[in-house]
Amino acid sequence: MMTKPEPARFPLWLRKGVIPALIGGAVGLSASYALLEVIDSNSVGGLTTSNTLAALVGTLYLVVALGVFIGTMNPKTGALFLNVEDADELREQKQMLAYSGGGTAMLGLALLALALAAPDGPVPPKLALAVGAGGLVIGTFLSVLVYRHCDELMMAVSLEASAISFGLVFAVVGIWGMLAHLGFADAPQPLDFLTLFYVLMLLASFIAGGRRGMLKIK
Amino acid sequence: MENHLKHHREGKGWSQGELARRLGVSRQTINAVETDKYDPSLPLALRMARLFGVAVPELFIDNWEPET
Repeated sequence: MMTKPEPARFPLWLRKGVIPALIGGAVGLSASYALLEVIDSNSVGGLTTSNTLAALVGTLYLVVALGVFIGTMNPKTGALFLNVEDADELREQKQMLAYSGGGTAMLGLALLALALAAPDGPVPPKLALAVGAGGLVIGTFLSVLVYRHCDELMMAVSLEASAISFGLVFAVVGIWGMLAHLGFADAPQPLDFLTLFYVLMLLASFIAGGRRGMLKIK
Repeated sequence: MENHLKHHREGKGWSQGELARRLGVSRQTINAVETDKYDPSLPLALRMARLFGVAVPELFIDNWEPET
């Protein structure tokens, strides 16, 4: 049965453009600020640039996962800031979104644990390894479940995002490696590789989704 | 690929969500097909044509002509 569309109180550009950007920006900035405060606090005592960037990217994944979880648990609220036509669109994809949010959260947690690992951070290496490896394994498992719940468009977008990711990783890591080899840049730290994979995977997903019109404001 | 999906869907009085439900795909797929951002697989194109009671070439327009 068709759901009667609710009357819009605000114009589309405000409702689906400015308001979500403000909410996302405020939550993202608050989370980043809180994380940087923790890093600079006595309990952590500062981190290297590599670890700080990894921690920020891990937090970004956790913020994204939080947004997806809110949309899954309360579609009416989620429809206010996620790029969907209405709350029903979130209800229709509830299971896939739940797996996706869970997978994103596990990946974010894994990177955050690795970024906060000793000797720079307060997390013991064995615990960081357990959370890091566990997060990657569970996150990957949940990604497989997401893939199984995808329809053909989402499968096509996933495959395209994977191909774009490979191209981006090859270009960015390749150029960085080349410059470092020749002494024009510092060599990447081990954690930088993981952070780059996370960032480039996210970027590739946006590119693939954008090419299929999925970033167009609804 | 140019298509007449929106025309046929609106002719039935269905929303994108309603058509997506009938075809077992997401709304995003219907939206992407209607806006020429995605060409559906052959099985989905056949299902769409069957649902609207038309032939696939009436729904999807390919301007390719074979060389003579």
